[in-house]
Amino acid sequence: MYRHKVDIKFVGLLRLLVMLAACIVLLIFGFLLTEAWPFLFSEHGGQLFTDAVWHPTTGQYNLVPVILGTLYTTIGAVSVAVPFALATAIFCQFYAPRWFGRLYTSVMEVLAGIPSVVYGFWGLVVLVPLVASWQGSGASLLTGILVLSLMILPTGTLLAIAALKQVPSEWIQGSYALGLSRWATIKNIALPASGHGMLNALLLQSTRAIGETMAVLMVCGNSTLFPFGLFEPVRTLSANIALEMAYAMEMHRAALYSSALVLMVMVFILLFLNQFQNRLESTANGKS
Amino acid sequence: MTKSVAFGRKLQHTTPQDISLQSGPPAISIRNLGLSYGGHKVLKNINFEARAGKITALVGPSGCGKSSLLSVVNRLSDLQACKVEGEVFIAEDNILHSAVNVLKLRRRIGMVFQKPSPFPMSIRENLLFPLREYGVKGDQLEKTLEDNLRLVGLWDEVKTRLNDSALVLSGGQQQRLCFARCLSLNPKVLLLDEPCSALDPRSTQIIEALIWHLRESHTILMVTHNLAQARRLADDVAVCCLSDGVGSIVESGKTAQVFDFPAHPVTAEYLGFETAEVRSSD
Repeated sequence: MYRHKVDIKFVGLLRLLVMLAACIVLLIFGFLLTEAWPFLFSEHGGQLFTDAVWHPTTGQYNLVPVILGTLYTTIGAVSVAVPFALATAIFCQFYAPRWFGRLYTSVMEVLAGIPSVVYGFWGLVVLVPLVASWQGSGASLLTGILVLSLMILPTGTLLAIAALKQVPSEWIQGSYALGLSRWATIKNIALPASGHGMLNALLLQSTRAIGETMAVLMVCGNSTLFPFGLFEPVRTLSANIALEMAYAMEMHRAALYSSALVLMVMVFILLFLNQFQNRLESTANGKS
Repeated sequence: MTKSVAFGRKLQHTTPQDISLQSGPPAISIRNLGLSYGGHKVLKNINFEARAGKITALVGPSGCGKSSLLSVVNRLSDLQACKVEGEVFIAEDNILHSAVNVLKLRRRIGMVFQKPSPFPMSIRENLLFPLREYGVKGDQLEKTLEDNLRLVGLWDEVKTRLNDSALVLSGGQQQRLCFARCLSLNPKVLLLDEPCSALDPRSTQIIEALIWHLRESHTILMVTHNLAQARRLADDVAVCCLSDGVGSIVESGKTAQVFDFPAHPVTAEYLGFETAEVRSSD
């Protein structure tokens, strides 16, 4: 195929920029690996999963409670946010008047833009005392889940609305033309057809929840003990790094880089699942 | 009680099977119909009749509101931000009355669109899920599936792959599947919005034969740009034209009469020009 010289130069420039962007990810990964190396590949490496607790000053580095804290807050927040996001998206797309849908979308966009420290501050002064009046100290897994779910809800809702909007209108119209109700149309056509977009939204919000730092740090209590209940304090991987990096030295510092590496691997797994699901979807569409 | 309320109630306890037991296809009478979107008038003073058990073709240039007119007859227009004035009688009932149960009305009036739009599910489920939503169960489901696929001439082509995605079918097969899906609910009125315009000549021929087969048992209102097709299939023709940006019916009557002896100069100009074009392209 003939290509103009300007096109060739422009494509070359784009390739260079793309490679630079990709290199940044590789550099971050390489940097984390280099910094974590002295810990991971020494006699301490196994301690990440075998020590009794995370207590770096006494040379104990069990990261499992922190990994569990991260997983619990993420899974909990996603479980709380998904039904709300889905219900809201369905309402805006199929039941609400158009002006309300537009207004609601704008409100969600504003909420999505609020810095996480604001959510954390609100959680600290409102939710923590509220939960404390019910049970425990208030700074707990439950509070973290609630704040985090509130934080991922706006973007989750916007992504769910976008997924529903992508359902071809002829399918929706075809269903209505058969005399099917809105709910029958949503249940049988819209939700199955937008499943791929919904799953994308779920995975993207999970990556956001897993990496959220400031808000969970402010409301979760930050205990490094194994969490056994909703009202117990937990610490997440990102909060662990933020709390300790300022004063960490030598092996402690390398252990924190190891925990950052674990966090990054968790995010990679979610992104890989997302890509894998996209590939499955496009293969299925290709066959169709 | 108004007639339209009675119509709504009449339908309330029917199932697709019950509908098939009702009397023959009804006539459609459109009286002083007007349609506007946000103050912008699209149709005005629409008056014509679609005779019971006959094919009425709605012809006219693009953008004159033919498809919008069709969407008023099964109240799909309710889904858009538009204002409808006038009356549309099916048999003796004004279906534009606010008390009419729209879902039950649409079940009685089948619609096939320009673009084949099978749902993203198996061929079997495309027909069965609407029936299940209407409470049809057991052996009746499979019987209805086979009967309607046979009716549209699709059974032999798909009987061994009913569980395959409907999206793998060819355009013509997809459109026939849409006909089967629509017919499985036993409508007495069919609204066809350029059902062959996206199809190849062979598929068009099959669909035309199907439409011809369905006349007498259904009242068919068909939008088409293909004047040759209108002439081949339609018993009656209504010509829709634009005047000052607003669509209206300028002439309607029996096909031969309208095509051979157009009474309105706009019809004569439109048909003459189009016919010459069709002949030259043939």
